[in-house]
Amino acid sequence: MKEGIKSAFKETKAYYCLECGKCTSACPVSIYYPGFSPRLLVKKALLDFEGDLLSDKNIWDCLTCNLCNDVCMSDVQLPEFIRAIRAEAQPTGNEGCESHCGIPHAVSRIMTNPNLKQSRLEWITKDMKFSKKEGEYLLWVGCAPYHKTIFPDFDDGTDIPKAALHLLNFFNITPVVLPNEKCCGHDMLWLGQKKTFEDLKEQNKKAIEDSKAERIITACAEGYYTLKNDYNLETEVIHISQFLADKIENEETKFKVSKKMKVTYHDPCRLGRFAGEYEAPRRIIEALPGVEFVEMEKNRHKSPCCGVSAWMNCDDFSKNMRFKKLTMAKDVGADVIVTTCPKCRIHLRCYTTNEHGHRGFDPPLRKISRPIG
Amino acid sequence: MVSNFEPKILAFACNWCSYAGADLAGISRKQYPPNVRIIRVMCSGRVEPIFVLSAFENGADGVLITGCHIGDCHYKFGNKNAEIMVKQAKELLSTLGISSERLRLEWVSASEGQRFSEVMTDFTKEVADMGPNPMFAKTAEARR
Repeated sequence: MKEGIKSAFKETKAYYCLECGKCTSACPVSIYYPGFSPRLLVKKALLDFEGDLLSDKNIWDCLTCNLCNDVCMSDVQLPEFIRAIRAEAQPTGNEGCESHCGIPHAVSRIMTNPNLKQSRLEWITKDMKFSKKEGEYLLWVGCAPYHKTIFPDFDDGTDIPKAALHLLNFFNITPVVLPNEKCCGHDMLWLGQKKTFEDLKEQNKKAIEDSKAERIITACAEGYYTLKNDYNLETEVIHISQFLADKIENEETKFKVSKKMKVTYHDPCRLGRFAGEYEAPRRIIEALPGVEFVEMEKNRHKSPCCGVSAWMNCDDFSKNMRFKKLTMAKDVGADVIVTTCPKCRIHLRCYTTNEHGHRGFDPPLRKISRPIG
Repeated sequence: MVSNFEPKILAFACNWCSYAGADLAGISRKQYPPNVRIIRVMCSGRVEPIFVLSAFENGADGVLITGCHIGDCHYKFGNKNAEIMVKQAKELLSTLGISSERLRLEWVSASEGQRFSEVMTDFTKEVADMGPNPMFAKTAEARR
């Protein structure tokens, strides 16, 4: 057995697997693609048919959505386990199918080059206050400036950092926005490309330390989880929804009365099941006047995945998952789905705008954007 | 310093026009710099942003995409797709910090051997003036 997999067994408690198969029954992939079974993957690794496991294409089908861990009686951290297998399988030539022609991955890889000076602050307008060097707060923008180019048809990724910066300015905070911020490396890490991740991490860590920030605020669920768990930062990492929820409750905030609508909330896996933050976004939505908050049938830790992770394996199965998710929102009569993950938004929007998608319904999708005025 | 820099240029030529144009340039003995490496594709619309990104990632100093003139495409609108693609790739490159001038789209038909050699000469000169790919600036200096 390879060292990486051996240590993963210890760290993720995969040795305690009871083979009860609950993970497989809860897995959103297994529902549509019965050939995939998380339980069998653990068993294969335990039986030590090494070549068999590392050449298995099924390891790339996992969405790493953590629904399996939620039902597991032995608390096996299956996503992390799969991540370790992927890191071993990647060098042997067993690679996942990168969607969007692999552009997001290439962008991340190119960013590891320290000689490049990105021009990523073009979304900032003149009325926004920010600093490029030092400050108490740091706004982590993430890959949003690239989403605008990669998905020109339906997603202007920069509206998320724009809204976040507006909100921070509203609370009299002038955050640092790093001019040469690199990709946080989340996708590279979950694709098993550890070297790329480490390169990005080193450069980002240095930039964060140089900025002397005490708090990092991020508007991205994946960025939040990666910075918090895989970076070993001394700086405090806060998701914008947590920050806003605290501000709304502790300070007097006046809201413009918006038009009446029914809003539901989609829990992204990184913020929900991984980081355990379910309530903050709900607190914000409920505080808004004129907004009626409705829960979907499966919510919080049972919330199904949007269907794709790490820009990989976007196929019929993930389309089915999105269909299910959107139907769930439609069933409770929601006008708007709010989510805290830019990628979930892209995936759900893609389904509603795509001609192959189901045209019958289109709940307009919106991230938490500028609810306070 | 820049004068002795020999850029590496990757050119995508469409099978029906530009590649035939390159052939014609060869047959009629038109000279163009040897810095250009040509890859034949069936249509300029086949080229995707990832091809361009990979080229730069792997050390190209410039990428040239050539196809049939608008309206002449063998597949009717492949070159229109190429236009959209190049716009997207240019945006990506400039955000990443690689000058978007390093990517160029040109229309060369099968009868334009002269033009093909001119385009190649011109682009090679332009890229040579820009200097090496910023990702490999240091290694390029060491190579010299």
